[in-house]
Amino acid sequence: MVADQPGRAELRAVATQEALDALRGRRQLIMRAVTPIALFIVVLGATLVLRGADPDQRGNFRVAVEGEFEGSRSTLEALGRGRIDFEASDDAALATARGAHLGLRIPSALDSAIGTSADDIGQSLQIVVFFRPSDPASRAANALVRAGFSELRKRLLLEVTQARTTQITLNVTDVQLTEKGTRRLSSGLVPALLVLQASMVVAGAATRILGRRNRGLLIAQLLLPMSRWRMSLAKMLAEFVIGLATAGPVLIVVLLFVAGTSFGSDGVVAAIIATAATLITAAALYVPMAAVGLLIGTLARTQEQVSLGAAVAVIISATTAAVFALGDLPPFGPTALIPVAGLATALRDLLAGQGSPLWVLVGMVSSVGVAAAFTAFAARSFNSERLVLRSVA
Amino acid sequence: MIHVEGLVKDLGGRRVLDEISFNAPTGTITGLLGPNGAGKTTTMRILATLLVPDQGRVEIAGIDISRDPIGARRALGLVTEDPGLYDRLTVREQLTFTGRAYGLSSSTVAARIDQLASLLGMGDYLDERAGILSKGNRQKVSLSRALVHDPPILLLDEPTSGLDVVAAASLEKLLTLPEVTCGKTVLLSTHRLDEAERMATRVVGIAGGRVVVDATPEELAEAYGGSFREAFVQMLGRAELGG
Repeated sequence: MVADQPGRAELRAVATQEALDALRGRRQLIMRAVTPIALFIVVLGATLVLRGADPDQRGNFRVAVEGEFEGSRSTLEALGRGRIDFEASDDAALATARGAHLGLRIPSALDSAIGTSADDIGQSLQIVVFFRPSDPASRAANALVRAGFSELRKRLLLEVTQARTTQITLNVTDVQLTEKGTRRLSSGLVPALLVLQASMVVAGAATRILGRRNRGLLIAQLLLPMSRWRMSLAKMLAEFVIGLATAGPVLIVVLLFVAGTSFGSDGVVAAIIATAATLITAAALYVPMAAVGLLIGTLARTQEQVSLGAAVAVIISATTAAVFALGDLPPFGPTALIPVAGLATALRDLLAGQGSPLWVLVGMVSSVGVAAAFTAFAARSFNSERLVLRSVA
Repeated sequence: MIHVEGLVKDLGGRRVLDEISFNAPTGTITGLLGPNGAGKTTTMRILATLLVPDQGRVEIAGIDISRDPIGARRALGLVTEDPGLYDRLTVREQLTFTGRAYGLSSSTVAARIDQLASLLGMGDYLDERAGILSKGNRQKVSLSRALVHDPPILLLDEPTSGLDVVAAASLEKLLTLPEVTCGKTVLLSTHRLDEAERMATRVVGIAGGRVVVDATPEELAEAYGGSFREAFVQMLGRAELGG
């Protein structure tokens, strides 16, 4: 009964066997589902703290100005007292949501509007100030600008009569409560959570592979009539499935959230695209993480080495989540070429209404590509001699 | 048939196998005997394609394992001291996945599992998870896994080590059943002389990485006088003194 050349069945059999065994370990699954949520809270908190780590702002504040910038320069420079760098912006609210310390929406020709020539008739100027209350630096910039306006009002009162004074009204807005601000924040939270959730696969996969080696399971597998590459691929696919299954509940909530927010702001088509892109991103993030776990589990000799490798992977993932998903990097499509990080950025930009599904696909290809490279490298390390002798040692 | 010729293997700077050569004929149980550290397990691992020899040639059922290791794996089954089972999978699942990994169809695997369960007396725990089984039963599952694709070559590397007397006797009995090993080339690696004497039709003795005897138990006893056990120990002693 020597079998014919097996095809996909061999791959499916090994992958299913691995996945089924892991999925029946409920305690591990619960741990893997819950840990990333805790990690996410820590990363989000750390990101917010780091953003506001310098409330005295040793450097200048960055303030985005929406409106006629050139015709307002004198007034703005007086407000800033040398501590503010003003930059022209098409959308002050969005710029503030993205990371500028403050946003100002000013009327046209501010300089001349608050001028003190005798012919001027007092008028009312509406200035909208956008800030982020959760960011101490943004709060400080807000206080500085408001103090500047207050001084400006006093100066106007001293120089002209009350009847002819230009009235300046400041409308201070919490940008995080605006649609753009909320969208910007949530667009970063989704990829950040996905990256952190996916990073849990690394430790699980590496530990499982080392554990199976130590329990003699690997010898039985190395006896199967399949190439090392297919064996490595089967194990990677199993870890991918385990990762997705573990993340299932969180992933469903995230997808519903994305669908709901996108539908509310942009309609059905955008909601479908955003949900599909989130699902693709989630799946594509698990592939390289599973491959990294496979590689660590194959290369490591001890559980300590697995723990160290997994910890490094989680730290890199957390940094990626903080910088690329939650950070203030401006939208730039080709970032998607960077595996994992680029994919997270592409999804963030898409959900913020500033990206394209195409870049998400590019990010998916780059992430899966690097996963294939890791899997091939793991297959080369899947040297039966080394693994068998190690498992004996 | 297993054909081993001039096998050399160095591990950790030490020569573990030094020009090992022997044949294991089809339809027989050949015992690979020797004290601990003699090189039995290294030989078995090379035959199972788990280790690559530094020199020498091995043919498994007519397949050169260096040229076609995947083909050789398809032609052999290996039972080791450690069964290496997935604790959370049932016995049936383990056997099914193994059979499928060898490219057998679902129906063929199912029929083969029923046949093996009946033959090896595993019917009672076929749908139990392997983690709850006794070591003896786990070893039976390991044997079934090695046989599920009905290979012409069966390698048994200290299969009864770590088993209690009853479990070891039970496994030994199964291994000598004609339905289990009939027509197969069986190579049994063991350091237990009594086990080899009962099971093997021919013994290859290894000491210090070299073959020191290749004969039937009867021939050995006749050549040295006394029992097989005494003859073998005497043979090893001479080899060690000579080496």
